[in-house]
Amino acid sequence: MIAGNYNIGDLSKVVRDAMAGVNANIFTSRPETVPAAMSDFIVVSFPTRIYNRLGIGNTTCRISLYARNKVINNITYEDITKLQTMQNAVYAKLPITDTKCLIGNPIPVWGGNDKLGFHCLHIQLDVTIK
Amino acid sequence: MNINEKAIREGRAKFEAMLNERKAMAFITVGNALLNDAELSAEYRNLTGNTLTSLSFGFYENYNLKEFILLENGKPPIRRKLTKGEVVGDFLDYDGNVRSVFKADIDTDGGWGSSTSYQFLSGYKPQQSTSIVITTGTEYSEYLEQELGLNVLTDTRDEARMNGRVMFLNAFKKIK
Repeated sequence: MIAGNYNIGDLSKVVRDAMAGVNANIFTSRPETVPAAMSDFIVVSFPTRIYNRLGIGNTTCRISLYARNKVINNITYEDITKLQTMQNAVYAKLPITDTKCLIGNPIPVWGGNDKLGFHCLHIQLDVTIK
Repeated sequence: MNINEKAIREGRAKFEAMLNERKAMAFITVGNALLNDAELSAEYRNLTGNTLTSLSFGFYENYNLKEFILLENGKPPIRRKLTKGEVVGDFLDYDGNVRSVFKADIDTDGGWGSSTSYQFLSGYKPQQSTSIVITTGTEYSEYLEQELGLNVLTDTRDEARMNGRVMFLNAFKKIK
């Protein structure tokens, strides 16, 4: 592996394929708008630098889970149950083992309200790149 | 499902999660100890450093590679693996010794050793569901052992056979 020469498309595809059973809506960045019927979606990204260790590299993958807010009596609530269900479904897919990369060791990070009608939970994962 | 049954199931799931986590920690502790053993018992000289720096182990759970851990000795290899027939001369090797000339006898993929280690471990199917597998990523490791009689991993394998169980039990943090 040479830093700067790795294929982010391949890495994204590995994660997207692994998450296919978790959610039908998978993006690589937060869409500015989504259809009203879409109640949840996933964003897969590799937001941090790569550490080049010659034969292999290390970086971080972030899987962001978005669940549409619930509105009850004009109060907007976070759909915690949906986020927990999605989190469990992601954890069930780990580790992601591929000839190109190994992805595991999830750490959840609260994402909060995105002000676009969704609450978010980030899951950060260690990535070893061949 | 009555309340008692639900509580028992939840308790059992919690216990199994805790047990799996501690088993994983114990396996990884043993793996690191065996990597250190492999480094200390190495009898070969390092030319590129790929054999030493590709010493690694994979931790498998449910037959899937969950962790890939390389020896951390702080010094990267000086170059990629030499391929068969390649000649290098008048240089400082990985150990800091001056080498006048060296011709490679064994063919390799010409890559980095750690990359080969990962490639092997990611495709390996262990015999046991939960296990660790230690490897090096140089094609000439076997040549070093078979032809030159220099230990690479055989001593570590013997160490694991003799003391692996005790090492695991010592590393296992008991659930109180």
